[in-house]
Amino acid sequence: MKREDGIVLVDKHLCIGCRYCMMACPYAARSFVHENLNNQKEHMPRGKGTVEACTMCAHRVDKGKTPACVEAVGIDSVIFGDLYDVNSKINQVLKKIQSTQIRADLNLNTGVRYSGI
Amino acid sequence: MNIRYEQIQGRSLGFYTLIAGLAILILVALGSVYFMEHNGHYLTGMSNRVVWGVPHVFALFLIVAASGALNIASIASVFQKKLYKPLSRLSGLVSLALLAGGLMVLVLDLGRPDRLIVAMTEYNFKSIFAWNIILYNGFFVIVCVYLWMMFERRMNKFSSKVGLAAFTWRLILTTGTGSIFGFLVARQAYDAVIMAPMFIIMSFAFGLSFFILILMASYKWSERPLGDMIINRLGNLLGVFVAAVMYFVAIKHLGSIYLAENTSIENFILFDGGIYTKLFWYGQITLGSIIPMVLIYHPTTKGNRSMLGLSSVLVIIGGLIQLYVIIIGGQAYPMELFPGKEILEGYGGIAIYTPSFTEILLGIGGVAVALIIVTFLIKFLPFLPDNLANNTNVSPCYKE
Repeated sequence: MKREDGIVLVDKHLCIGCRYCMMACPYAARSFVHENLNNQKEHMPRGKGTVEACTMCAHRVDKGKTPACVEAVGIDSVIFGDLYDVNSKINQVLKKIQSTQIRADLNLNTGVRYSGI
Repeated sequence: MNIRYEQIQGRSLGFYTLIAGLAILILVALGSVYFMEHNGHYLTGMSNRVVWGVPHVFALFLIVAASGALNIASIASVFQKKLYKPLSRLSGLVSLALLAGGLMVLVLDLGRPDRLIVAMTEYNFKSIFAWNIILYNGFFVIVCVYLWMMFERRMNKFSSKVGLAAFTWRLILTTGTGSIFGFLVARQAYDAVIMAPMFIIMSFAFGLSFFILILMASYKWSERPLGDMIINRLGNLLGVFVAAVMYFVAIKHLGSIYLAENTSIENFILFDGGIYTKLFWYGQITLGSIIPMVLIYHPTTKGNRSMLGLSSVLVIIGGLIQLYVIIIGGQAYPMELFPGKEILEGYGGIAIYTPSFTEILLGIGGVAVALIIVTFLIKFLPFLPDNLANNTNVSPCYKE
């Protein structure tokens, strides 16, 4: 399911674990929960037998924070923000730096852009 | 001319042994499902790279064969070939049974099989996989109605119209099954519209093989006469279907090789893919296609029932191998994530897949479910004509 802000999440209550999304994903971005789980995080419980992917730390974004990887890296190697907001940092940077999408040939207009590949 | 249908007696030791044997296979399959679901899929050979494994090989094989098994009924009701009419009921039954077996395997391999009801009620119509659920359920309903039209004398007059609907639906269904792979645009091994017609022709061969084996076994074991005319016709038909599958396989690979972007995946499957290359040439092509065709058409083996039975078994084994090469081989080869770039480390190698016993047992359980359904129902309902000797039927060229 796609949220208003563009983040795509797997609905863990609907996923039946058929894994066709994994077959179809051009980025090998999804993974299947193969094992029993313990020490579940309250803010983002996982589900055995369902498919999951990077959530862009939606639980942090909802609190106005940035995803954990962005915070951990610190410098501007990973930038998170609203692509459509002309004042956002990511929008500004993408205007200056050449960037690309993975498998841009598939015309999927992904929200993640890379530069330097 | 009236055809007399009669249940089999089903009281012999052989009958009960068959039922018991199949029941054991099914219980073992259910046990392995419990083991797999309880502990998680890491027990299987499947991983995040090879996400579909042996269960999908069996499930898709059975589903494809199911739609093909209905052909015999279609030839009678849609194409008006009277020779095949007495076989129509069995054709519908084998078709339903194979579909039930295939779907059982598919459903029990899900990460959350307990959520089957969700799959039936929540649809994402952008996904061909969701469309297939509707196609499978619809197929069950249409074939059941079709059988009812054939069984109920007052409804016989509608059977050719319902037969046409069932025939159309089955073509759409196998188109859908083939498109599950054809629509995977990101994977070089699949992304091809020819997958849909290729799956249809594969269904003709696989379904007919099952039908021939079940027909010959049930007539032999119930000691009913089965004439050479019907058997030879079915054998010839099988030969033509196997040849047609080979044609489609050749065109698929040649067409794919022509596209420079697919050269590497084609090289992998056809020349240097290790186990997948061996399975393709020795299993699918030699064992599953060339040998059956030789057995069917060579003057010394032509018309020999045991040889036709062997050919059917080989077509089934070859078909399973073909789906293994398509499904597992296609996933083992890495996707082209960065076209035009070379990956130095990380993602990009050939994925390793070793099928586990749990997966294989589940797959075999699906075949057992299909066979037990046929065995039980021919005992309780009159599916089989009591006599299929040559003289009980009019000329095969005669049209109703």
